Amino acid sequence: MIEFLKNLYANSGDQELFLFTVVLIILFLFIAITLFFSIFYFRIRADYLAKKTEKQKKKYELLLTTIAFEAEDENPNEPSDKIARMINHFQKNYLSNDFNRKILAEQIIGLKLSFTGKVGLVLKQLYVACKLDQDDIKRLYKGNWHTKALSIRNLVAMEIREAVPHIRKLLNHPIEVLRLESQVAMLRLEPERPFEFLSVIETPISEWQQLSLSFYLDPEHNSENVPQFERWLHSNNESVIIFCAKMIGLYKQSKAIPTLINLLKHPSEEVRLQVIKCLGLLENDDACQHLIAKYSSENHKSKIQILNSLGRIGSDEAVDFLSWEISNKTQPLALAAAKALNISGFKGYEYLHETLKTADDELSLIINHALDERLA
Amino acid sequence: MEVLFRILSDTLQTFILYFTIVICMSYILLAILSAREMIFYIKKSTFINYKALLSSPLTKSVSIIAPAYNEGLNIVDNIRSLLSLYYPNFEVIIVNDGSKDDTLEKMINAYDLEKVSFALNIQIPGKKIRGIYKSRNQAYNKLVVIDKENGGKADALNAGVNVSSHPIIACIDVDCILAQDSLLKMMKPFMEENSRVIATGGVIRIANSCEIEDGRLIKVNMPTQFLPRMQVLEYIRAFLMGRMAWSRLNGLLLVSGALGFFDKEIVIACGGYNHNTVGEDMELVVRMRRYMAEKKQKYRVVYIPDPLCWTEAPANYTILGRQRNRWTRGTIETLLIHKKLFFNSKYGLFGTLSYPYWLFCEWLAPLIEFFGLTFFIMLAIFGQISWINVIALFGAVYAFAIMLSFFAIVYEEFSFRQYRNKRDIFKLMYNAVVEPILFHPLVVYWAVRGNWDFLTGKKSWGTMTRAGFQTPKKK
Repeated sequence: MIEFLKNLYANSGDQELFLFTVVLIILFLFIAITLFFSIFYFRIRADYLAKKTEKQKKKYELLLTTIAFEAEDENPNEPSDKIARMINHFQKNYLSNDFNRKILAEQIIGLKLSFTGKVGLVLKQLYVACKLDQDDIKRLYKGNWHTKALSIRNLVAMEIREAVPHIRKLLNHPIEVLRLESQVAMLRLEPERPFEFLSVIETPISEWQQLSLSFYLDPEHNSENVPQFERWLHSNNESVIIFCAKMIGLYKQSKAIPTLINLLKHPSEEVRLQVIKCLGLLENDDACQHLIAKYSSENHKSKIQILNSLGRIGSDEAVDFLSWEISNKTQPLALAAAKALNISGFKGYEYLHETLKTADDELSLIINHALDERLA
Repeated sequence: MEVLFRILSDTLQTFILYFTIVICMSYILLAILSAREMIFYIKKSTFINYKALLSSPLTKSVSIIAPAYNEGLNIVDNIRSLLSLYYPNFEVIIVNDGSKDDTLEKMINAYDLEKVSFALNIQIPGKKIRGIYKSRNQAYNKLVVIDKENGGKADALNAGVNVSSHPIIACIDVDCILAQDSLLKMMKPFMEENSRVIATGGVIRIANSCEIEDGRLIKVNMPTQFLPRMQVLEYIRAFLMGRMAWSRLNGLLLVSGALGFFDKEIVIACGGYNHNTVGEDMELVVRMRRYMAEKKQKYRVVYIPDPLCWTEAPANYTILGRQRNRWTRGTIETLLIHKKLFFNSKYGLFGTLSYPYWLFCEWLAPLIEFFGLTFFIMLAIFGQISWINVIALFGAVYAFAIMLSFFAIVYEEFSFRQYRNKRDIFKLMYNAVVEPILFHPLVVYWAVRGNWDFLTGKKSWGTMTRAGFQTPKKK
């Protein structure tokens, strides 16, 4: 082979070019072969790790299940000798290396998510006694964003409220995922004041974050302690105002209406749009005149939203305005007004039917569209 | 004369050599960027709670628009599959683009449709809409069918945009198989980024030989036929290595027509799909980006690497040739329509990097490859360069191509691992070894033909026939 290459080298016109290309060929093929073997190496390694994990999990599973059953009859604040011995057993035998600690933590967290009450408390005691919570807290300071986020999840699952000051430091982290995890942690670990972080948040809350936060605020997950979101309507962070307006609408916090009406003058279009939507959801007659007053100066998107909100409010004033607006020459506005009339109540609905009798083709089409529930 | 020839030859040799080095380096850089983006995406995905998206009243709504032309054979199943996607707030708009078969009748009968009075707001002009249909059955309340005169895919999509009622539109090929969670994953970027996301694109996977039942993917298999198998590798390389990197750089110029989500407001502001190009998908993205840059608004175009959309790849040479020919013409048309972008710093990275990359590496690369190859062979024949050096140079390019494909296979393995069988990995690697010799020359040939057809003024799409998906045998 070497002789062959030497011959080629001697006979090639440009020997430097030849040498260069041969080196490249060898390099590329070497990398390709390494990649080839790496795939199979990692597959074998993954299989080995999966088996090892499974074996370790089974070992812990039995012990943890025993603890869980023992705990049913225990006073959770004073674990019996038996449980204390078991905790001692864990501390001595299973925490020697990172792999074991990781599997144990996963197992405890898995069980904790399935159990509440006494069993949950004992599992938490075990987690703390094994200093697994300290591992998580340490990782909040030295790991990459992914490790930090995972640690937050563990701490939330185990309800380690002592971690709150440490997690709070990550509320304005540049990585959105980590910010969201820390915000959710605040909701779950401080249920008595779940949205305090809105006062300190400097980064925008994306729609995704807003959606996730509202999900965890859902009574099923959190909280009897839904705060009065009006508190944050004066925030300097526009996304905080938008989020709070959404929550006010969702939880029908009518006390916020005067502040919301003031926000109709906010310089941000997005804020105004959300406020208009929120006032519609609150269905309060007082907002009607303010919405009508704003109508002419707003952009197309906000105008459509004002019409929709007026339809939801459904007061006489709103219906009168919508009845007039149905003849608007801009077709989407006329259609939005007709749709709003249809949802405004009996008066609006009747008006549509009356108008239909004398309407020209264009208006008939709009009214028929609005009246067809399938096109709502 | 001889001196002149020598100077010309040396210049061309140097140009081709440097061009090859630049292309190879760009592939390596893109591979590195793509790996970083992929790692970030996969890590991020472990924290996403899609339940929140499914159950929240704050979820952004989307209109799926699927043009259908002579799809009578599968249209009913295709619609059923679309209606069953997991998402809380969406509508499915099927645009019957003047089909000559029984597409419309089948939809009317299967879904109990009736014509409705629809106050249409024409924001993008197009061919006449003959009627808009909704179902009498509440179970199909998400379905809207538009019947219109034939005007081509771009026109059908524009009709869909006019009728759609949600702020995001998803333009798809009606015969594609979408994963059940595709809407969840494709919609998420519109809600999470702080700068406005104007489009998201999804990875397209090859469904040939996969098991499909009632419009759903049951089992992923490696295609048994040669051409689809080659395209599997090609698609993995293009999507997982190329587009993910451009997504990270925010320099994507193309969102595939088979699965693309767009901000409707920007689509309308840009005038919708262009009827006068066969590359309407790429042209729209470039126009939207241009619009945003000219308005000086921050924006992003994002790519989602999950295997969400499965399509049947052409399995015969004629059809594949037509498809590649069309892609080439579409690329050229788009690049020429937007030639103003070329190295224009006003458009940032989009003008200074993305556009030139597409110009040199997507449009011109096959031409340079073709003429370069011919040139080097001519030089060797006329004794101007040693045969051994020519072969060594080709050998280096060949080894590079194999290495790059192996990287792509590694990406697939460490990300979504759709081909779990070891034998499939061997097949992919075998493909990587034979592709540069058996398949790539064809791709170059079709690209050169595309250039020729563009020069001679060919405008047609070319007929695309499909064999249909494999349905598992009932036991």
